[in-house]
Amino acid sequence: MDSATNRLIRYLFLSFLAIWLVFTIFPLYFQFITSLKPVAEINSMVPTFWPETMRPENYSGIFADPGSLKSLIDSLIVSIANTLLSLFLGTLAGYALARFIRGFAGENIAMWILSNRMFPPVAVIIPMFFLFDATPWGTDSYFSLITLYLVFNLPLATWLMMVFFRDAPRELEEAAYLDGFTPLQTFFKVTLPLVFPGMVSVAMLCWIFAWNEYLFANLMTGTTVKTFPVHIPSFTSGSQTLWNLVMAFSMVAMLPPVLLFIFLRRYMVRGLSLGVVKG
Amino acid sequence: MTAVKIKNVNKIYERGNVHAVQNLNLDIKDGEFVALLGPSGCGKTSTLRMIVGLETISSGIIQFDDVIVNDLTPEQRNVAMAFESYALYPNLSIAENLAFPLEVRGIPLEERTMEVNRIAEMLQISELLNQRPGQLSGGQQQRVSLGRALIREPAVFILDEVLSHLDAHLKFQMLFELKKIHNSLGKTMVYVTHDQMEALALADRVAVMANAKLQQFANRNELYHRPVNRFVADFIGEPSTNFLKARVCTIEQKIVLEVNENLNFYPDLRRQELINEKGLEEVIIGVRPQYLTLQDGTGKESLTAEVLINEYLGERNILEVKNGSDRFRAVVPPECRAIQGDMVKLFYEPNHVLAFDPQTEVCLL
Repeated sequence: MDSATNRLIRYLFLSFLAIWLVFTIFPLYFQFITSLKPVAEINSMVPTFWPETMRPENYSGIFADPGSLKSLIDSLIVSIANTLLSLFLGTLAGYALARFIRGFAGENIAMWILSNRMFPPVAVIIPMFFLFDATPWGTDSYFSLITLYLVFNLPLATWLMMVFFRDAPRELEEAAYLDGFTPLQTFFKVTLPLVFPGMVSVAMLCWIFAWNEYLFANLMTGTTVKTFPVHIPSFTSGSQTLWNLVMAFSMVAMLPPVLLFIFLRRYMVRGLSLGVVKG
Repeated sequence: MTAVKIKNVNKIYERGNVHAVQNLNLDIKDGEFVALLGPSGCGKTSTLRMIVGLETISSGIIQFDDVIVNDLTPEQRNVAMAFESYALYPNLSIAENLAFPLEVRGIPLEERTMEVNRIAEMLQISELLNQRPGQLSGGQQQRVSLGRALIREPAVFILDEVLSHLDAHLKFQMLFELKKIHNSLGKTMVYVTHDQMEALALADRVAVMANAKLQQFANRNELYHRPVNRFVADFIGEPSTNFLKARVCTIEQKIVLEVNENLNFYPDLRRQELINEKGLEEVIIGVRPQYLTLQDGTGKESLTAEVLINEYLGERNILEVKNGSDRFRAVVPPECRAIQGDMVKLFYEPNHVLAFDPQTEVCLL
């Protein structure tokens, strides 16, 4: 290939990236500026691409409703508790699958666990409602959401942790046994540090799912417990949706995952590429 | 100080139904340096893992002195092992790696540091103590892994192919170091390798394994001069032994082994008797290339052959020669200038002609 074609391909590639960037950034940008606009400007026929009148008060306005802060706290409780549970159970199950149940049976069990993640959640949404309604905690509780999200997060956590554990060299564990560690000590002091980056990325994936989940939260909860995705549609005035407040609240709700991702990026990248490059 | 006795040990892997070790008997003396030698898949690693306690024993017993260790954990057996893949803890520094076995045993920090420094000095890795395993070269990692095994006072040392990843120069250096360490510690050591050079250089006795069975357990002299079968004769020695099919003839009441009409071998009297006793009509002759020389001497027999290749290797040459359709090799001095097509006369001592039963491949000794 001559250098002219090479350059052409390079430019094509770069312009594709530029288009892609606009495509992904624009909704965020529009959300951001909308959160700063007054209602009248949002409803104008010709959309503006920068607020004509700035209304940063929108951000304090959303917290005038005490339910806003509570919904964020509810979301935090549900997502953190669910993440810790998924990680704990998924790590143990993943380790067992990676080390003790090998061969054909192990593969099948692991695949079956993962397949739980693949079916459409809507298919079980009604049975789930009745199932949780029958528990002493009812549907509208932290318990219901925390355990319900396990259905989706645990298979993912188990599968990913199994893959990470498989890639962790077994010799290290054997060396630790010989050095005098019990299997449990070995697991915590030798094996877990090896898969730690993987655990971080699994935690992120689980947490983001639990943080963002709307469908089940909307159906199951709403009074005692109200996570923020369920709370968002409540910013209305009469029949009018207050889009500026909706956008401002969404911006606030976006912060925790974005910050978390920035801080844990190092681990995320290492975790997600764990097992991609061997050796 | 521990002697290791392996009695009728079998290892059968349920999955795949593999009989990896068959009826193994080994008697390793206290303080002895023993090598388990064999090609890959011969069962040597399974044997080693059973000694260490990382693999269950299907049947038979393993004793450390008089204690049956079959059901003991690796820690209770008090064995130290250096792994082929080093198995250094990547999240710990070199010093922490070395101190790990001591830390587990609750030895105070001061004493740990002292021991780490002592071992590091012995293995010349003192300047690496603050680094991580990932920053080290293979040779350095290997020494750290040895150091971790040496730092405590185990009953038995197990070394699993520990030199296989080192370059030739470093390998020689480490061979020497290992021998020195063994001499100064006087511990029982079991060394697993597929490299006969390493095994012969290091070990007091070598257990040669093939196809899940022990072939021969002897010192290097025995293995070299009195191999029990064709496999051992072939596996031990570099370049490997020449094997030639021969017919047993009797000429003037002496047994002569005829390879082809121009090539006869004359074995010594003892082998003649043995061949006679067995009533063999055919044998496989084994002659080491080292024992086919250009030098004549008293009692030597000779043969002639045509040179195919003269391979120059520095301190020696290897001649690839043929007689009729039979090819074999001889080790000659580097001054030998023979080129393709030349005829050479090669000499051998009759007692260096090994004879194998063609059916069982057992050596007639």
